[in-house]
Amino acid sequence: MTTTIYPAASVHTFDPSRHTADAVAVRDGRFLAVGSVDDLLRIDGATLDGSLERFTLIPGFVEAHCHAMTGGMWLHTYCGYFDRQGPDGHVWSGCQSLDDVIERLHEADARMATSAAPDEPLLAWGLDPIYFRGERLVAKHLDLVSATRPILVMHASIHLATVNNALMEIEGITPDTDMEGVPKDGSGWPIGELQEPAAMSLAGTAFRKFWGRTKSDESLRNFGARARTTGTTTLTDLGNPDSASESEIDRFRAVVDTEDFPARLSVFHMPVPGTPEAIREAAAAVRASKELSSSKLRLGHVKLVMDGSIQGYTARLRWPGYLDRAGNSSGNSSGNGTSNGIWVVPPEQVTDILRPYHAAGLLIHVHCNGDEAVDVYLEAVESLLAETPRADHRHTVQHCQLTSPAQYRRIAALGMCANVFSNHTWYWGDQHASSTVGPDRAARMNSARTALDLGVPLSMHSDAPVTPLGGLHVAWSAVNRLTPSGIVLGPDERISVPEALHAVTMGAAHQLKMDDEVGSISPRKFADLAILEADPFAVDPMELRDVPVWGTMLGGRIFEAG
Amino acid sequence: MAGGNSPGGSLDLAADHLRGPIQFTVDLDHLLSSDTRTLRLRTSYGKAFPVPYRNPRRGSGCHLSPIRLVVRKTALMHAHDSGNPPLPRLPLTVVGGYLGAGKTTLLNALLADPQGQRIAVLVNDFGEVDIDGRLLQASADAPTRDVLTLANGCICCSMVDGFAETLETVRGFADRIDRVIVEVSGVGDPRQVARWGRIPGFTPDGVIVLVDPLSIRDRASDRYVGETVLGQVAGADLIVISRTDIVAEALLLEIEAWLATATGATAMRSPVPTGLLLGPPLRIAGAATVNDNSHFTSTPPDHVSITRSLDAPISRASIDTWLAARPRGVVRAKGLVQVEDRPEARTVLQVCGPSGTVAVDGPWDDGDAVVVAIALPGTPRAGLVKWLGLLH
Ligand SMILES: [Zn+2]
Ligand SMILES: [Zn+2]
Repeated sequence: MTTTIYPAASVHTFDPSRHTADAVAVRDGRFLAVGSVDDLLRIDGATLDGSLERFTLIPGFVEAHCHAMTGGMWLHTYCGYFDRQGPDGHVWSGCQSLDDVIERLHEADARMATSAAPDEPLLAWGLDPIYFRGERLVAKHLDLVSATRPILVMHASIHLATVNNALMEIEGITPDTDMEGVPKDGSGWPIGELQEPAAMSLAGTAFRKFWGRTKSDESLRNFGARARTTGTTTLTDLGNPDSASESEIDRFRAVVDTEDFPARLSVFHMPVPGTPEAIREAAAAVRASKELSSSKLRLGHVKLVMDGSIQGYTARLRWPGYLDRAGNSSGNSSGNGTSNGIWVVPPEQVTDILRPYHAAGLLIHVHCNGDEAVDVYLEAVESLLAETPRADHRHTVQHCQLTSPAQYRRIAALGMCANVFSNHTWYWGDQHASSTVGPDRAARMNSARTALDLGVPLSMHSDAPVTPLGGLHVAWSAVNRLTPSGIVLGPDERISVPEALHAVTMGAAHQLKMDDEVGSISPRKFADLAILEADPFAVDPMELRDVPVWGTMLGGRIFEAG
Repeated sequence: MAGGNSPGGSLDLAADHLRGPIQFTVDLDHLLSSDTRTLRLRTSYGKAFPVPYRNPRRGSGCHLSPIRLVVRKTALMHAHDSGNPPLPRLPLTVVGGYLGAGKTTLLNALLADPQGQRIAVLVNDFGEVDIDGRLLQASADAPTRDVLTLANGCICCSMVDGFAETLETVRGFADRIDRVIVEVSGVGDPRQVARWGRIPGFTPDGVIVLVDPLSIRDRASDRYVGETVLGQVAGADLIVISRTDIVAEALLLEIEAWLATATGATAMRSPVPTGLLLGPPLRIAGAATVNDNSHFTSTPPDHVSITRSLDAPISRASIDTWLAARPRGVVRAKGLVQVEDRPEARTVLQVCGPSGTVAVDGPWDDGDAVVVAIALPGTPRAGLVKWLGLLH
């Protein structure tokens, strides 16, 4: 059995017994030991490998909330506002104006001229026009790109798409199209915006291809590539309704269980509507699927979605709700009719839906963006625990964006965990302060400090593709709480670099029940590393997100990022 | 229709209407000898839009024949990509209401007495009760009634293409079914789901919301779901008050009064017969013979139904007037008519409670033009006659 010693510039283990080391020893895909080079060289038959000696080694990042479709997005053209790195490591510059968007699409169209049929749709994603000061992308802009090739640009919210006239012509979207969500201009012509899924589905082939490609093997391989370029070694697919079906498991296996796939992947099951009997059967199937897990592909956890999103005004908020247009709180509880988001499942059914999964001993994560959704989830877990007490269940509140100290205390008391959406501060913090909830509540959003101080097991996430995958940025956002406009939003909720990096390694591993296998550089654990070109503990905390990732090690095998 | 040159390598074509497949005669030599890249179709809407075509010199599959350019024109009936005659659009009815409001009971009743309609039901709920499997078995010899359970999560929140895919599957059965009913989750917004009735191949046919008279007002002021429930009720076309058999008349009157303030929908007490809920099955009956009410077998005699045959195409303006003048008490009205500005098309008029839709549904088939209305008991017959008379 060969043992390889990798000396490094520095090693941060996140193992409480030994915080730092000079080198790691790897045998059979696992860490055998950490320590000084001299200590490790005493291991019988150990060989020295100097290839990592100029790097800082930390545990590979564990992303406890992202989606496999992340990889599929990169099969389309990126049009987002912020610079964003693709699976091959190339950084796509942000599109900061409509002109930028059009130019980006022009380039894509030119590439397609040689590689694709003339009627192959040009698909793009990530457009976030809230940064364009009221300017709206419509068909006439896209017509500048091509008058013949159908074009579909999915907005970042994925509630809205813009298409060109060529697409509308092919799919029959005309003045006769009489449908909410298909706005028209003064002369009755559709302007090219398709709002919400029903209208978006009118984009026919382009719409089907946009989502269809996210379910391809290529999409999954891109997802893995994104992990490699960001130092991530454990990924999640948080919410897949088919995760217990044989064909879906085979599909994942065929890609993930190959040597070249550079990450572990935990696929969570998403319950679908059905009778109590059907849900019981589903829970049994999910339980059974757990046994089909491999060292890289994990199955058998559950994810439910409770409400919408805060930036979409669809999360369920407690009083005083969302700001109205004049900047006043709507005071939704007073029943003045201002919308307070949506429920994705009926609050009174949450306990019933979760019961079979909880009773089967499965781990449950529930998406709760708003604080009212958190209340309902906590009530459900409380009654489930009264019916079926379970130690160490680790049921987790996902997103947990507007959670009060009292709710955090209750989360801790119930043995639950919080996975906080800290990237929001950077990506929407300014909008939250000005538009959704106002500066005071915005400063209290994603309150990692409070969670830690109240003893809540903490992780933080990107929710990729909602924001870019990458533990360093997630940690940076929680450490600095900076917004693009330069405001430190809620300085009292900042946490330290070690706390933040712990949350995106050990903290996440704990919530995935993988903390005995990944999340720290500890003997016996999988040899999973993020290989960094600078020491994140040594850089200015404001530069944490800029620490270059050289690559990863997964199960002892080195994957170079570029 | 004229072709004209415009600078910048594009050729403009003018069309004075957008009806039916359009064929343009263009100067092919001109096209082939210039580097024209774009054809623009100028329409009566004052808009020019690009027309995809392929230069025959650059590849196969061109839309350009030696003598004429055939533009794929899809405005009429989405029949652009095949020579098959289009199937009629499937009516899509949405059934909503909070948990326990009686959705499943209503669906089971519809399936038990489908009035000759072949109904596909899409179930989308974490439900206590299921659609009654026995009904499906019992109907093995009868026309197919499919129950499809959505496998891709909630329609209202699912951002991805799951529901579109499901509807496409349903659309594939279009020769075997007459109608789709979508059951919305207890917290779903049925009005939002009804948007799907506008996608190609379907036509929206009513939003029915169930209301449990015993709990509705508590629900409507509930901390968690009050807004959701009020939204469901407000978005309804028809409200069906369930459990009327165990509720005192006084309470029902109170609920009806409350509903009148909460929604513009037409409220009815259960049980509501299929023929009333879904309306007259014009297509099944055949448009030619609707002159008496005998085929509305399940319309109770105290409901008022009235039919009018139209012997000439009617004007679009009269349709607008007609839709706006709906008398109180009308539950359903349907018409298959010929409209003056589109005589080649079969235009379908549908009224469900306060909602009206006008849709083109294939070519005019030379049948009789007819309009039928059904109204609540006590609705003055003369008013209905006058109302249908507005169509001319
Ligand atoms: Zn979520
Ligand atoms: Zn998510």
